[in-house]
Amino acid sequence: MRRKRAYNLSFSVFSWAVLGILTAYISVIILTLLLRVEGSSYGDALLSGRSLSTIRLSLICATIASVLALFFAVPISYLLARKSFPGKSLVDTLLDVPIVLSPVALGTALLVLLSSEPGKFFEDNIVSFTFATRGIVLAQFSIVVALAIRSLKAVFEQIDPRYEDVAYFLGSNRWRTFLTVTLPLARSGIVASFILAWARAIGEFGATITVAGAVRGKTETIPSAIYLGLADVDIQETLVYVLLLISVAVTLLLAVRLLTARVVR
Amino acid sequence: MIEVRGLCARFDSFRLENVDLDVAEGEHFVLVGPSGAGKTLLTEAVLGLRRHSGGEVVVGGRVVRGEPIDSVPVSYVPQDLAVFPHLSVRDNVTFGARARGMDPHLARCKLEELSSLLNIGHLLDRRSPSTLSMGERQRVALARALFIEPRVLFLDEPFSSLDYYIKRQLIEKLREIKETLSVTVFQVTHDHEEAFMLADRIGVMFEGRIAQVGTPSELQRRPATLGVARFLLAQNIFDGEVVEVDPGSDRVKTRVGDLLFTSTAVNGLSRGQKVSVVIRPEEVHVIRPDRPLGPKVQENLFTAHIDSRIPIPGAYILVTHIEGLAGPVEIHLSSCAFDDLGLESRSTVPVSLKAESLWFISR
Repeated sequence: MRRKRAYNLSFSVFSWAVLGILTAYISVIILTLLLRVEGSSYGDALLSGRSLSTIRLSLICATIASVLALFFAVPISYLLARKSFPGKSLVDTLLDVPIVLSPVALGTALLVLLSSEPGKFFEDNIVSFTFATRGIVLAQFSIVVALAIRSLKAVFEQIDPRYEDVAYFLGSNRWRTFLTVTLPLARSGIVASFILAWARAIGEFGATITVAGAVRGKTETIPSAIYLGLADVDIQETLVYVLLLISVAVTLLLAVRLLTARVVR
Repeated sequence: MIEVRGLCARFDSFRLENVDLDVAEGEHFVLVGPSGAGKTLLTEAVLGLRRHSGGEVVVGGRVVRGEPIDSVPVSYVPQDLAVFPHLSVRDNVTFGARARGMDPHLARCKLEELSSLLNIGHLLDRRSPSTLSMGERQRVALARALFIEPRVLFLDEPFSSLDYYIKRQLIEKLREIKETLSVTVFQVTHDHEEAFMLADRIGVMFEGRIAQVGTPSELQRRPATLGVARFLLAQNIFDGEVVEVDPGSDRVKTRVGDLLFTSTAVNGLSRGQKVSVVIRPEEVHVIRPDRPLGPKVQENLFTAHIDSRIPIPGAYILVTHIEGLAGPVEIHLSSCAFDDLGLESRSTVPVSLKAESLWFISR
């Protein structure tokens, strides 16, 4: 009995110790950043015309990419959560590739696609992505759509299909059932997925810089600005951008946590 | 109204095999069986929610082909009720009216009628159904299902999570609805008491197959298989052998343990045949020593020793043993009769088993 109690105690001590170490590690990183940035740097870095344009571009691109991602992810994840079809696991795996692939690799693949004959035709005659703002959206979308599908699939799987069956027998067609039953039940989950996609998009760097480059005043997002700031050894401005991204991440993660706690089952 | 012919369906490793079933218009059909018998799978296959791997399902004259029925108005109340959590109680009940574009005046009249029938008028203004009790949710789910005036109402274990009192109330309510609205009901339950209270006919299901279909009385008196007898009666099933068949008098003598039972003949029994004898607990007559025996209770007279008594509402289950018979014999006796006879645990009582109440199942 005493031995069992000792094991139980040591397990608790171990778990708490690990939690304490990791929390302290992240807190020290943030604290060091905060201490390193001089008070005047916040105003200088955030209120300059270039910075405002960088922040605005990041916000706009992340929002468009996340909305587009959700537009695709909602029906796809619903289908994956509800239906069985031949080759489903293959499709499912394929859709997961952007999650596990290095963003630089994905960006490179996008560049190869855009420089192929059909890609060139598309770029020349329809929409151009390379080294353009649209390229940022394309790169961010390619990364976050997979993330949105993954998180929304879990949301739809949590919703009992009986709700839809009952609505169908009551006379509701599939569209009406989806819009009046499934979507309202998934609302919190969809908002949480949007926030996650947005947070991932605003911090996206590898694919973005590969496809759109980091042209000052043109395709410079917050992560690109950090990269360019480090290259120019402009430490103060870079650290302010880093802290900005951290604040955005913490705020959004808290929002997601609150929303997912309210997901209706 | 519902015809099922040779239906086969699969769900993971579970299979429905060659299910045949008929439910007439206006009938209350109850499918009973232990948990995992395939009742819900069969219901879903009939509703078109599961693909069939063989056979045919026809509902209201239209063939159901692996797509949910939409040719005939049917309503479905699943086991967990699926009351929409994001809608108010009123919006839940009237969901079908909006989905079907029902005339608003007609919808208001229908709402009043169902609110009064199911006593949910005071609940309609609740903004969220999460504040309803289980009994209230059941009534709301029923009202929502009945709103569209279905020709068939499918109920999957509708009373499974209710306490006894609420369950009895809702069973009465369902009987009333059935009478008032003349709807065909296809109900699933694992509780055979509930089935006997409600059904016009009952189907008993085991391991993906229908073992027997019949009226409650037929099932109680003439279970077709040992499985049905065990599920519905649980006790008083003994192994025996036919020792004499008298076709002239329609009677058969059967040895069960060391005892000889006389019973009315069952078609097809022959001398030497191994049978299981089913004795219904409520058909065992406890004989009052001070009263002369009627002609029907003069056969199969035995002495039962009461080992224990289990109180149930208004009655006792007497667990007895009869010498020469392996295993206990349960007797259902009203509390009044028990008190009148001055019985106690450990008493000895003369009992009679009416010849026509015994039933034999070939082994």
